[in-house]
Amino acid sequence: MISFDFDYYQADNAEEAVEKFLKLKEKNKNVAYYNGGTEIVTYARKDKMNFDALIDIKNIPACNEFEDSGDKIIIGASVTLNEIAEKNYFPLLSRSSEVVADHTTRNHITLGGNLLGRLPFKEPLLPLLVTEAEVTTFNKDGYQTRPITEVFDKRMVLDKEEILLQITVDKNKTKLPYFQTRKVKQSEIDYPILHIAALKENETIKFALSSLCPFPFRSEDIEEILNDSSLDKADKIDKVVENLPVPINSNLRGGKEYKEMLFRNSLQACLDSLGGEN
Amino acid sequence: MKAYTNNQEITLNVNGETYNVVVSPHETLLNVIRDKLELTGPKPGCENGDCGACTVLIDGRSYKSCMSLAVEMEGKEITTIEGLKDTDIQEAFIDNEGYQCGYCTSGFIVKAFALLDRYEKPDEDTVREWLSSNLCRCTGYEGIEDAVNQVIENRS
Repeated sequence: MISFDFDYYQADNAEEAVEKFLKLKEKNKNVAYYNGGTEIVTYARKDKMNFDALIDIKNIPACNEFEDSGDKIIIGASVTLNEIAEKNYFPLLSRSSEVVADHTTRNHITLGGNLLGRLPFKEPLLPLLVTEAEVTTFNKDGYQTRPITEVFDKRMVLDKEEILLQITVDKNKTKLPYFQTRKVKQSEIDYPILHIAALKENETIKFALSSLCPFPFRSEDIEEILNDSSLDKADKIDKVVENLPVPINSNLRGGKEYKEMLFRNSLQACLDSLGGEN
Repeated sequence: MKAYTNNQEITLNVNGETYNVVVSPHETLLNVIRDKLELTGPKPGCENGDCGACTVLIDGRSYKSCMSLAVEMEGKEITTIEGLKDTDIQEAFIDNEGYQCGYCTSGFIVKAFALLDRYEKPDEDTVREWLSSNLCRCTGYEGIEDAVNQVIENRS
């Protein structure tokens, strides 16, 4: 049971959701969009989140599209992680989705909710970064489509009233050779210590990382090192560790040194898998 | 756009029956099923999405009812453990003593039912992956797995 009262709205389309959001904001109401609900319900129950109104976007048709459509894969923001894993249109995304939480909870968790939520691990984000997926949103100025690499900077940066509707992935990129690994402390059902998603396109490794540092990222500097044919694998690993854009952080799941060791081993496995030349 | 405020009547379809019930948006599906429909099969355990004792089926898929709002559920078919009377999996839990204190049992049976409905003969990894959504504090996992495997074997 959540300890405070709020109003709940079920939007049928993006326009009315944004209109309602802006109207409630004009009345100084604290409003949140609602999708799968796992974070919102659990945080609200613990009084770690408060709001006057929720606008549920699950009934917006665009949010529920999930299509293998010619040369692209379209994934609505309300598609659940289990649906992504089951349909398997994009194997790297499927592997990165089926490791989040547990099977029942993945029936709740939506792709949009995972990308926009407070938890920093965001395993399904990484395949979207390395394939340069596009996001379609709706805000007070209408529909917007941009590369996710422009929208994600430590977190998804959207206007307050903006709704994430869909993610579109180039179908050719979903078929590229990939590497994915997720390290946990003990139980499979736990927050990760490290998650890597990488793929190889035109002999070039594209690489994204989460959980090792305080936020997920894809780094051009790291990719340059991984693709530098003048370096052997051991040198690449050393240079990547030296050039992380933010330091490795210690937390309850692993100390900095332990996480670095896991990262080095995983990087070795990634280079072995995707054919680092040296 | 549908709007829900405090103390509003909604219609829920649970175990094939229609219930008109007055709810507020802050009430979870678990609270409403137990306190207003008086179906006490789904259990409040962690109420945080971790233990699975509150698992129900919504349109055939398993969900933790502590993480869903009741107002989200209009127009959906909800099944609780009370709707799974005389199913093979219930009998198999009895045959294999797939319970100890019994608190987690209804959640496990609902989850196992969803698994066996989805797959004719799930492999061992799939059984473990699905069942790992639920926790048994008595650690009676072996009997629970045996119960699921009995249903699978009887299908051969």
